[in-house]
Amino acid sequence: MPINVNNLFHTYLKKSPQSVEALKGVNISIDDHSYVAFLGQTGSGKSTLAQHLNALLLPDSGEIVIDDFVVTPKKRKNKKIHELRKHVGMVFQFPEYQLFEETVEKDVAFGPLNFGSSKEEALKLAHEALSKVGIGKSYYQRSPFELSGGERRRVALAGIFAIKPDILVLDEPTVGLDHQSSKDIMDLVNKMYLEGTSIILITHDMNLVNEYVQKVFFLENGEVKFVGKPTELFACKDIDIDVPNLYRLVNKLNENGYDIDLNKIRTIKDLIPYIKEKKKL
Amino acid sequence: MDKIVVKNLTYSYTANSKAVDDLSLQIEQGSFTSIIGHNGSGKSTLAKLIVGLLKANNGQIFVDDVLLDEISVNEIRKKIAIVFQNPDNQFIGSTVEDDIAFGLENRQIPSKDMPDIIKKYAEYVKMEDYLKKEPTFLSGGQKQRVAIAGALALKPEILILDEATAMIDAKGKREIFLTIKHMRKDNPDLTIISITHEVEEALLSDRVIVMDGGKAVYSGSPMEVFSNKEVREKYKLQAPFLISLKEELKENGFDVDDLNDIKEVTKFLCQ
Repeated sequence: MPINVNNLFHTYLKKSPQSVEALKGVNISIDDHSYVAFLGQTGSGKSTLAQHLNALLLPDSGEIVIDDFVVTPKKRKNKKIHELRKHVGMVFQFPEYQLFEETVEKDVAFGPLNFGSSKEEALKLAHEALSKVGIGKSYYQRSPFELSGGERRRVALAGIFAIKPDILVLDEPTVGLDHQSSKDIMDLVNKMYLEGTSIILITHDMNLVNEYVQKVFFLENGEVKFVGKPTELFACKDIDIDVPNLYRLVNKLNENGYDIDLNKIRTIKDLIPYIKEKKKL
Repeated sequence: MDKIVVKNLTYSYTANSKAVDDLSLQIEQGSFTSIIGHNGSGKSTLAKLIVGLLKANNGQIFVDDVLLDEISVNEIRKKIAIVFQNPDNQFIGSTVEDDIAFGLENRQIPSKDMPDIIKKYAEYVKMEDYLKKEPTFLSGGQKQRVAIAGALALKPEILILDEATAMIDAKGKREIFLTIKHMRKDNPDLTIISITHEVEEALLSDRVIVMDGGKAVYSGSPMEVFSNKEVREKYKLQAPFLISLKEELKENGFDVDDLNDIKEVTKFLCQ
């Protein structure tokens, strides 16, 4: 499902002295079946933008067009919101805090039930989703609250997977997880992507961006400041991001006599031929 | 001098598993120690035991040679400030100012002294422009910086960061680490314990303790710990960039053993 965001404005607490202009005329388009990232410092508007994609927030002006759904400022015009939310799944930070049912199975089946699946069908979808995240049968009747943090997060993700969204928005999905659990979660997300789901990743972690993302949208003070490939962003001097160590090094080397194309560098190994040539080894 | 001594500590949340298992370690006064290990290795449980939020099933904790027990816990707590991972669970005040004041009120700091203290620590974490703001208007990273300001304002002897920077963006993380550097310079006796997954952050500490299955399984300087491939493999630790780079260069015949930071490596590569 392609996404088009047209001239989107959003201000929190309008007419209050505390008002914050979070989005100031955002235009973006995301192709069908893409893996993109919304980047920016805290407070740049990236989460606000994401929350418009399934109409959790409505714009003050502008619109979001996703396939034949249109999200507009007027509540009464947004009749198909419920249906839209079936297509656009959203995983917030610390999704494990949103688990609430008595058993793992019920929690994951809640989404499909809510979107009109029969009980039988919902359980089937739940079981499929749980097996995808590596949560076995012995967990089905356990309370989500007995599980470890990493397991709870996988159950929470299964809850979204069970709805089979076409677009999956993930807000900092690996925060607080160790290296291995982060990798497990990102592998799952990648699996969803390979099966046809569009992924929108909101993150501060440029290593994840480097590893998975095709196109980035960098926001600053509610405006889109950069659109392009991750490596193009890493080479961009006037954008304040935490360039991954690898590209920081490449930029430094290029300033000091090397001529390395960032697009050709994925890992440290890719640097070695350049270094050998320079050092005549 | 040892600031904290932990002896044979054991704690279980449930009957059949031990979150902390016969753990012993010492933390030197004025040191900056990172405790790393995967989710569920017992790191956070250890932090909660040290501040007396949890009571050990077995073993002892000494702070300044005083045994932590029901009587000493209040005195010991006064020496320790702790910052947790999720800022939403620790923001208590109705505004930034109130939130920093909350801890000070608990310590019975005279209210006439508070505005200056609040201002000073808000400046430390660059939140001085937000003093009157309510938490709803702050991002996760900003709330976390307020939590850190609140902890620092108590002038602790021991500061425990329980994955405190996990939700802050890269710029915010660098600011926090600059703050820590600054604080250590101001107060060389401050003991810092950072519980973290972030190997690049752990690289900045004096000592790294690796936890696994509730035990401290390995410790040493960050270089010793992260250069040890066996340890990395066994405990699924990521190698910091500097170490991976040096290993790759070494494999390709470059002599980089003596290079200690990324600046030195860059210089070497550009010569």
